[in-house]
Amino acid sequence: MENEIKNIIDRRLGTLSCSEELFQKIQIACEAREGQNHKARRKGRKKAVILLIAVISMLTLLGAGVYHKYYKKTVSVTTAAEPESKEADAWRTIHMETDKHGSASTMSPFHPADSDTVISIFNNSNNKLLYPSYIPAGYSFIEADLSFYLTPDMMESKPVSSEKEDGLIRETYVVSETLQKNVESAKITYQNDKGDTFDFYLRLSADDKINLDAGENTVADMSSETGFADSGIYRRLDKSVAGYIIEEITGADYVWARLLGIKFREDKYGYRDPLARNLGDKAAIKANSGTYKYSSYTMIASSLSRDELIKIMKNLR
Amino acid sequence: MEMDLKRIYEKYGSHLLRTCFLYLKDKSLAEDALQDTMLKVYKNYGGFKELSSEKTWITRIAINVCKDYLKSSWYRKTDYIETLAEIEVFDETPENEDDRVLAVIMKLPVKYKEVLLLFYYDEFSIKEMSDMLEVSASVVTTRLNRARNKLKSVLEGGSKNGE
Repeated sequence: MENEIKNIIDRRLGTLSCSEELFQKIQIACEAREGQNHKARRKGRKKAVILLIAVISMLTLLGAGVYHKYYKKTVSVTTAAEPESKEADAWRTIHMETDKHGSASTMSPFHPADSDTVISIFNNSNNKLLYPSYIPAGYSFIEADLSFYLTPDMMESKPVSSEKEDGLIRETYVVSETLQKNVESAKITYQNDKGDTFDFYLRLSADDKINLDAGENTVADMSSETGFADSGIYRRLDKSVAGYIIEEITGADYVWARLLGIKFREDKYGYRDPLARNLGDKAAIKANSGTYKYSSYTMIASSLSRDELIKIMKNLR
Repeated sequence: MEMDLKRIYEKYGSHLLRTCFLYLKDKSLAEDALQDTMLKVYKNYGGFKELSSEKTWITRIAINVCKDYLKSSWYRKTDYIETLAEIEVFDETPENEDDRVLAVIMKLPVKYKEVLLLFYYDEFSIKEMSDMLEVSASVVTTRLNRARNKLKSVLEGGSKNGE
């Protein structure tokens, strides 16, 4: 098998190779970073890359629900010890990486071994978190990624290990059940025997507006802005026409959505079913300021019908 | 330590680009991830202490960049055959074996996909992979076996549907 996989990849992706044009963009970015007196040419694509990185960073930080007045050092969480490890509760450890400038380098979440553990963490959370209680026939839990809002000064004990490597400071902490209350996002993957999957995403956000990026066969359920408690919207994004259309537009409340750079007209959307919850003002432990304003639940599936997706969403508990 | 950007790009760039594509399933995102990777390499090369090989270090950065992308964006799942079609004109019949294999690999959960690619495509040793992924060698071996079994079962099971 070994030669075959490599041969297939090289054969099939052989035309996917680096270009001089791409190198020039990289070179410009590196030189700009060096602060050399070299005016970077702002082509549209480079702007999109920078904007993408900035948006990702901003959403990650804002999603923590903290407005960083004082917080100079963002942390990242790398992969916890895996369930296969023989150490007891090894999966409860996390690694935090900061570079020499105090900025985050990587972010990886917890990987609970089973759905019961995920549910337990959700139920223990500071905020009301919903999870799928209905799973379509043939599908089973495969894996889960959980992220927490945590900073080094929140940790209740010193790191169990600390090392520096390649400019990074890597510290390992055991995360207590108390700190596990700070779940802020999750992705749970289910799969059937054919390899079809569906992913369930949860995200807590302090954003004032909702930013969605969803593809075909997606049902997005989310709360509206603050002030519309206990409300939810089903939205099926259909790629049957140019761009995306939104089904079942009713009611009179404002939601702004941005999808793949296409800004929707600021239509009014109505409420279908109360699923998403306004989280009120429950604050993360030791957070300096800021609260989560809404939770959003998103499903992305490779081969489930719309009705099945709706059924999963309606049966969140 | 001085870094020769051109040398690094020419030596590792295409391979990393394909790796990023297999993670992100999108050519544009893969190019973005490669650019991000090269920036991180450029930024941190002075601190590279050669505790691992250059290739190991750079590949690890690329993998972490891809994982950041996968985690940080509401990742749009695409039809994998359509994704591959972006690369070149190809035979759209499901029986095209190369595309079938690649589509299955790309559908694997990340933890199985990465050991498969690191072992067979990047040709790292178990020890190198263990260091890179920060798990024990036994975990790497277990995942590799499971990845092989998953690949094998899906390919054998899906053949009648052309999947």
